[in-house]
Amino acid sequence: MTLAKPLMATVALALAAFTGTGLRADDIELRGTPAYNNMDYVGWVGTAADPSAHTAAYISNFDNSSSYDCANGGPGGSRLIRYPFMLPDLRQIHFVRIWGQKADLTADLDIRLRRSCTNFLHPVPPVMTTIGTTSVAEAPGYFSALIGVDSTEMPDNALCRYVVEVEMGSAASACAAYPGALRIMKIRVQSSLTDRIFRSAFREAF
Amino acid sequence: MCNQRISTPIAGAIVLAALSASGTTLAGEREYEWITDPVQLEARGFNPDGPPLRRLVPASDTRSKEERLAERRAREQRAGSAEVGGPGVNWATVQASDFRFLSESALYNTGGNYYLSIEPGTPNRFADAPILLKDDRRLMYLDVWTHDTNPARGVDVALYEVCQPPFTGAAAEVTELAMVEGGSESGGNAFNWATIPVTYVDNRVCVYYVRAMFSIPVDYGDDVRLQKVRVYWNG
Repeated sequence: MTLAKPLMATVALALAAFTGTGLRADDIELRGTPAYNNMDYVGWVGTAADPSAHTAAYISNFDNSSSYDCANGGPGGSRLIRYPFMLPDLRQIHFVRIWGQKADLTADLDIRLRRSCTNFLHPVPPVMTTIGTTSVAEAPGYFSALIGVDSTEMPDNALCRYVVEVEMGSAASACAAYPGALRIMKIRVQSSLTDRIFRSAFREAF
Repeated sequence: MCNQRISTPIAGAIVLAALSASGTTLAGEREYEWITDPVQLEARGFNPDGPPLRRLVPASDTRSKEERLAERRAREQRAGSAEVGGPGVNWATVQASDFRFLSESALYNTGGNYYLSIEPGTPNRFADAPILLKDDRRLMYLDVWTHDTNPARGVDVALYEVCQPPFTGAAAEVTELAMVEGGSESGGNAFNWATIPVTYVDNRVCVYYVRAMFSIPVDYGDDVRLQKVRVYWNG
């Protein structure tokens, strides 16, 4: 009984301290979202796209989400946009998820995750490799499409650069009859840091 | 024994106070208001006939700019040095070449030293830049650097949060987190900022972007330049 009250007070104080410094207090470089430990997310709005050519017509005022709305209302014009991105070395890429909206009479979407790699010091052309693909067809309305990535895919920023490519049909026909009918709203890359504690930071002496 | 009788309730009170205080900090209630006026929506580059825009009630601070700037300086001195890309980095920055106008028909310049300005007669005067923020950090300030020599024109900058369910398609829930109004600047280079009401970054559900809004009529060019935008968070 004599020990019980001080013990309870100690436990309570420890609980208070934990609560006060808990979920928000981690200061590592990139932390996991609560309840999804060890997973990190990075994302962009649709207008972060790099159109592959100036003929790719777009507009972005359908709603307030900064989406990329294909505006090639007739044949002609580039339909390819790209979202280049970089993750730190040693991260394992798990998924790329794309949100958007697709109405009737719109071009199908082909979405690819690719990497472009060169040799470290030799003058060789980049090698493009497709890592994963997904498609969106018909008229799902709001959609969320997923590209799964092989578990061995880890960024090597000395050699490679990653890009999500979105192709909105072909130039032979309109991509959408009206603005907002076919649009990319958001891209998200999900990754984890495999060696979260040491980050492979033990180095050999030169 | 007497001391023990007193100390236990005191300890309990301390515990409750600590829990209460931490709970208040973590919960961080956000206060919203809705922008439904088509004129205000259009002024932000949004569809006047589109959905209303949710906005965090702007933080109120009646102190002078000098006083608020002194507080900022003190805070940054406490922060100390920061390794590039490391855990001490409490900010993310975008500049001219990160912005994309809201249609490909926009007429604009980025200048030799990378500022963003419109050309007279541009059919689109709004430009967005995605900004990457660290998960779970509390956002603090929206910082804006401009160069403005036109007393009647200017550029406003706002920070937006766009959220959707984590694994399914849906309409986006958009919130205006803060806005820096630069319309009255005309003295050349300027630095202004807005305090961001309580907001924690959630990259699993949301993405973030800043929007530059050049004022109308669009009869000016390099007189109004957006130089840099920074979002500062609490480590």
